Amino acid sequence: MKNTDAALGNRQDASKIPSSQPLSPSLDDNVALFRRIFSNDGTLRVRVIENNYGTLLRCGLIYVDGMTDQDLIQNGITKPVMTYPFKEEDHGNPAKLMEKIRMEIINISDIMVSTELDELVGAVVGGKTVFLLDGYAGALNINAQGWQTRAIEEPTTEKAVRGPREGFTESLIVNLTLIRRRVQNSDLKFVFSDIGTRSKTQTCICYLESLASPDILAELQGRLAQVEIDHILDTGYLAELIRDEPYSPFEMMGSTERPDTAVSKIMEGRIALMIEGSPFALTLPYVFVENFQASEDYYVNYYFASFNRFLRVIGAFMSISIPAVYVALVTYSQEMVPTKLLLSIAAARLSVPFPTIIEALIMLTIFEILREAGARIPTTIGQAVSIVGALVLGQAAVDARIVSAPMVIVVGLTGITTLLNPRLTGPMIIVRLILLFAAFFLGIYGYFFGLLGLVIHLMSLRSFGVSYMLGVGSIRPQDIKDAAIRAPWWDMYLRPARIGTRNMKRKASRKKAGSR
Amino acid sequence: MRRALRLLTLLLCMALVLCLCGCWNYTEVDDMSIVAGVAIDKDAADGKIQLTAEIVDIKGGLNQNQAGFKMLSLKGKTMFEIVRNMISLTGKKLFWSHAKAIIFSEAVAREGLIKTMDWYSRDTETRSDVFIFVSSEPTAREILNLNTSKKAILSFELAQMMSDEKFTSTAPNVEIWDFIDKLETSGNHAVAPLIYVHEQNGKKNERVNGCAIFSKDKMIGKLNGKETKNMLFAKDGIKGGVLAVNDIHGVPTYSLEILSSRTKVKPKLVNGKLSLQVRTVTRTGLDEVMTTKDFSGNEGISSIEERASKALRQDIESVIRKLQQEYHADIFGYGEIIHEHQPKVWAKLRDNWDNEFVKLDISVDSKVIIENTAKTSRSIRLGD
Amino acid sequence: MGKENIPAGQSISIAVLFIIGSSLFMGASGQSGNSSWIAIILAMLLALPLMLIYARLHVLLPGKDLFDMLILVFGAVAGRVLSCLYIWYALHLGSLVLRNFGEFGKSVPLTSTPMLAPMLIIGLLCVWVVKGGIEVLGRSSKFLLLFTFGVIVVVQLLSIPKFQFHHLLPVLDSGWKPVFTDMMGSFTFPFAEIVVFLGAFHALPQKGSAVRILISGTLIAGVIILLVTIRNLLVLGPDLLSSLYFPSYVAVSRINIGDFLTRIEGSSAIVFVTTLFVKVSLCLYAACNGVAKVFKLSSYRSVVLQMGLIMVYFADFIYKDIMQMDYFAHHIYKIYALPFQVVIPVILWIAAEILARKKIRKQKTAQN
Repeated sequence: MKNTDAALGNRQDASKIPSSQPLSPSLDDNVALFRRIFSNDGTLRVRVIENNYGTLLRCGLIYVDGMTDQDLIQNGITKPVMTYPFKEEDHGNPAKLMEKIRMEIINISDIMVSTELDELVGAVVGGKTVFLLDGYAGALNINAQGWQTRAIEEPTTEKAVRGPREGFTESLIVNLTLIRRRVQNSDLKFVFSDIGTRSKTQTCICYLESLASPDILAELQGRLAQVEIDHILDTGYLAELIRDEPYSPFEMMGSTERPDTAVSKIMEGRIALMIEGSPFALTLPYVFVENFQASEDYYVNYYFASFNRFLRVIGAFMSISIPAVYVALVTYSQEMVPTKLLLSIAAARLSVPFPTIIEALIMLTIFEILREAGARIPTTIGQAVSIVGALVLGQAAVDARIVSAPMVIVVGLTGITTLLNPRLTGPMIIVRLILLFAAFFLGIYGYFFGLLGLVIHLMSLRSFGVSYMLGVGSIRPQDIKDAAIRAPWWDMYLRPARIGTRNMKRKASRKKAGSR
Repeated sequence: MRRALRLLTLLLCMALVLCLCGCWNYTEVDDMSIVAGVAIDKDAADGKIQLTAEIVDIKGGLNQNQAGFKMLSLKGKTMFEIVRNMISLTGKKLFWSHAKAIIFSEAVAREGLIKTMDWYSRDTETRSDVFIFVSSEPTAREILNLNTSKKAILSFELAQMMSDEKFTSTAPNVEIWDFIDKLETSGNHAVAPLIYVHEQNGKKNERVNGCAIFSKDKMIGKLNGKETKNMLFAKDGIKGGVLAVNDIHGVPTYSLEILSSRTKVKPKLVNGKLSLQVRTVTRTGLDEVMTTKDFSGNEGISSIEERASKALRQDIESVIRKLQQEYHADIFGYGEIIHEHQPKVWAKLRDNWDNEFVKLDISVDSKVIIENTAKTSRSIRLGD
Repeated sequence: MGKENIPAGQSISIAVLFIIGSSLFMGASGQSGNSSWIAIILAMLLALPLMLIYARLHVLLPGKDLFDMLILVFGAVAGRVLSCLYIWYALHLGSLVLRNFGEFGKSVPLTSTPMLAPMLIIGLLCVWVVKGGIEVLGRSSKFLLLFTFGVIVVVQLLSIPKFQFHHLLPVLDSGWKPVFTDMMGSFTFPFAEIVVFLGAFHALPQKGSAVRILISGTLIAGVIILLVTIRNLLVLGPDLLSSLYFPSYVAVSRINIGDFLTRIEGSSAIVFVTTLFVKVSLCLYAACNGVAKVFKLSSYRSVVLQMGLIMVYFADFIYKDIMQMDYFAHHIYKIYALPFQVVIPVILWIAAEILARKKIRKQKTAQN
């Protein structure tokens, strides 16, 4: 392990040697230098162009293919430079000539002069074009970036029937545009930094200066500064690297693919974190009730939204409880089951070879297998999976008396209720298993103990100094408004108190514009 | 690293704890015999208790909706001994929580129910909301054995019957809990419904009608269905049922459906002498008129009311007299009422309550109110 | 780790759950039959002045917990000896409560499971929460109180059809004497047990809030206990009530709504688990805090696991059987607990009052 590390390090060091060299006045030398740095990189393009008005003028363009906009280079750099009628007096001073080219000839807005080889190499890698002039020991760093990105599409992970349909893409700058378009206010800040010692991924912290808590912001920046990793490919890396409570299965930071959700969190005083290459924004601090909030809640009628939220909470509870309660009732507290139900369960269990707990484990595992299989396969094969799942594993297994019918119902319910809360799927699987084992060992009391443990765990969590369960268990109307229910907008005149924002007031008053 | 190690230790400890304490009470539903009901008899020859259990026999499963049954019978000295020994018959542990009925033979009841009932109310496997019955037939098990001819679980049928009993009120609705409650409370004696086999056209059916009267835990007598209803009137236990009313000539003509009934018992102390006033107010609906004579108009209704009230008063009085004179048992809970309203008087009476009850002056006042006449406003008029 | 701090709402929740703790399912001591509810009201009223004394201690010595106070007022040696007594009391109380649950489990739902198993698991949960700190306990309590309250109210409503109001009559059936005996019983168990909460007084918010917390805690808990006691009485009647170890459990088992909503006593037992958990946790916290103070440990967290295990083990052998437990809880405890609940705190209060006067006088003389 260590050896390879060292070897990698060495190779990098070897390639770094020329970068300490200054640029030479000779174009050919410089081109050779770049070629050496980018040896074995087939995407490097070097183009030497000439201008023959008066004295021969030789220039070089260096860029990476695929990262640049060819049209722009052609119309903005090569064509003007090649056709510009230089006069004799221009040629005397290369520095002056370079200045003239920058100011008068190249018609691309973002140009910088640079003499640092390091910076130029970085620019080339980042998709910029380096313009060299024969006889001048410096270069222009021209931003003619252009690469293919995915178009803005409807987010697939958080669908909404009503509400904006735009979703983040993999391009950071496009994502920031999506946010900026919704908050046209100079108060909105975008702070950039690079993360990843090798990948140098662009990262952006996004917040409203007048709302976000400076403590949380400082804490976040401190944690980001401590991150030491080769590369990050998705915000998921960051979420794990800078989260609180690294051993907890619960997410300590929200992640969303929807710009409207991200903006609404920013507007509540939260901070969003985005990176180049990931369509998911992280929001923090994160509290438990956010798991149950969907962006659509805020766009539809509040009765309906509150009902949906109630369903989600109940669904989460059922999803972790149903298998455990079933096992506890059937194997310990049979007296709690209504007589008729008990008789039919007993009849269904007859001649099933496995004990209930094993049956439950088998069925839950099979369900998870089907879920995982369904998540990865192409949609065209999806139907096959559901047929296998429903018919082969469900119906046939019951008919063959390998599992009992009530267990299929139990697992089915568990599965369906899990789908209500996609954000909690991961933790719920773990909690469900723990509760199931607890119920197996001590019956309904074991299940109670398990729940109590869950409460203790959740209550001890903190996300960036904010208690994870803030607002849960409170009976103050202000805490309930966006937690257990979704209060009407005219009534949510304060921001959620929990996340330590600076300015609590969301609206001036509880006035309803339409009411008389 | 250190934290991970700690976590691992914790997990190991948890696993150990779980292994240590795992599953002592774990039982699969299909590994137990669900008891639906029991009959308790006494073998006259050797004085042993004979316990007959009706057990739900689960077979067939999904496709067969009707669960079958099995009968098990075993003798022994104590209840618990029999219950445990039954495992050797079934191979499965008996599961009592879903039992619905417990039937005692008259012999057992006359000897005292505490002997056989205590286990049932004390044990944690059993529940106290099981209905009790006293068999009017020679043995209790022959009632349970009716299931062979009826092909249904008899105990569940009995439970269903008891929950519908409120529409007839000819038998008290007694759970083992109520029975023990009555035993524990001073100034109250228990009753239990009587059950017997009703045979018609060669078909045997169980029938619950009337009640057995207990003094302490020993059965001392019976009341028939009508007397039971009057007894329930006297103790505010009527939830429904039918009152038949005669016409002027003494022919049963009208039926009143009891909609609600309230009985108030007031102990009165006049010149140091205690007397009880029992007042019943019964709201009824006229549901049957077996005559073409018109009853409409206040005159007719009020005379029916009057006759019904009078008849009811006499009936209630007669059943109270019967219990005072024949059985000396206060099954109405009048002692408890005196206790509650006249605690000082009660302090003098309580030790000798059964005798005092006989001497007690009880006056009855009944009122029957006809609130509606069902769907029609008059009797059927014969067209000429 | 900064200074621990629990807001008033959470402190009240802890106090309420602590007080209703095991008395919720053990039932109040019942010699007075159908007048036990009077005894509870009286005990609650009697507890109020005591709460004022406790709260006054918080005002006199703000930011200090019981052990700090003892050491400050009585000096390093005597204060430590008294602290040790309180550590014992908290530890003992915790194991009594654990044992209550153990016996409950043994006699009702988990008959063939060794008592140690459920007690150990509860004990470990308590260790977990105490390690998390009193703040975690506070937050958990607030949530659990809401939940407990909900369950109690639902059960209360469901049992209304089984209420037999004539059980309340005659009032004061057996005279005042048993009522007073019961009052003393209910005073020491559960109301005055809140003295253990003094062990966490340093975490209370600002000056003077202790009055509100203790008084409202006592009142809310008192009302809950009263409601539950009256329910048990109305459903079971005074005669049966006296024979049951766990009257609430049996009372709930009588609920039957249309043959459908029935047999819910098992699920209502979750309330026993939660209240008991909070009670044991607070005892454990106080005991560990005491140990840390007496032995000048930098943090109480290092002894939590050990103390917790001692508590569980202690609970296992403290009584021979349930009859002994019942006897202790209802007869011996009221005398045993008095010094801890009343005598020492009152002496402490008087001494602290004198100290405070002296200090003020000194300041005055210094000013002059």
